[in-house]
Amino acid sequence: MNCNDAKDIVLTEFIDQEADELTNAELASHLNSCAECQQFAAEVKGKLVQPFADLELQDPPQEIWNNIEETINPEVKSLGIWGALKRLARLPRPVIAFNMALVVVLMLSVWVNQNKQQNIAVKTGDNQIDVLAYVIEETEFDYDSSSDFGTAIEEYFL
Amino acid sequence: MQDISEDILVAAGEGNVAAFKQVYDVYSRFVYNVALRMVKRPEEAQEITQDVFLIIHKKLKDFRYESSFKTWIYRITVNLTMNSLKRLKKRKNRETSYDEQYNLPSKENHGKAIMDKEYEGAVTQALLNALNSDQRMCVVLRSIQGLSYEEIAETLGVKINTVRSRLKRAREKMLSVKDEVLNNEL
Repeated sequence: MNCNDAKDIVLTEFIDQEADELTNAELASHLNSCAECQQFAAEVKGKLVQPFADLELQDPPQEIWNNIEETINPEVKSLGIWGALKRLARLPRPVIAFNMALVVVLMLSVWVNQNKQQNIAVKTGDNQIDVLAYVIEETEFDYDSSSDFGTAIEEYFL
Repeated sequence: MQDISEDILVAAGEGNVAAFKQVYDVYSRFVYNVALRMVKRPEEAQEITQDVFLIIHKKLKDFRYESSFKTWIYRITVNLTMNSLKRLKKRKNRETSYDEQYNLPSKENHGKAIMDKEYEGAVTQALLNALNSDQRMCVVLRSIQGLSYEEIAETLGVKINTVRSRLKRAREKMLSVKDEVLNNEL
């Protein structure tokens, strides 16, 4: 076995444990006598075998099954409001808590906004009265009691 | 992966949801992880997994048990995953930087973390990203899922020598990229 053949087998059957006994024996014999190929085999094991062996498989999220069940299960499909509520109950608690917190925050902001609007309306009303009073006070006019008009303002404007 | 009895498969094929859930419980991890390692996006992997099982549910009653049920599921998984990859590739921007292409972990976050498991996982995914989809699928099925050359060949519909050749080229590529990555990092 030459070095090219040895490296070829190291990259395939050897690390995948697919080699037959004869091939294994020939490879072992070559590796014993070739430091370069021995080093290559060690490098391949360290860089390509162990990292993949250490890789953790992930569990599929529960949501996947929930969606599948909803599609295939006629009972789940036809439950209507109760089905929807049941599905809500299946949500993880942090999701439910977050949604409730969001609703509370929204309601609070609407209430605060409404209060603000009322305050602004009152303040605006007050401001308007102040402006009017200023205008009235600052305006000079002669009040003629003999005129047909009643009040000073009517006299002024009319 | 444990085998599932024919009784359960028959019941699932007849619409028994509890039986189908058992099928899901046995194979969903395989399907999800193959999809995840290939498309790299959890939400896309979720969609693929969902679609795989909906197809299984639809076609289970017609399954003839002439071939291995396991291989049948593998095949559906591979086909849907590869279709999804093609769709994603069309959308993807071709002008990607080296880092984006290999999706390498940053030195800032992992400077201390040569031995850290998360870092190793990220490096492993970066190695997979360096491969074309055919090579990557072979590595995922062999090195992560532990399928034999024969099972991979049957799943992909190719010869065993083709599987062998793809694995060899994939590993040569990963060796060269890993050296480059480590040299740059250090």
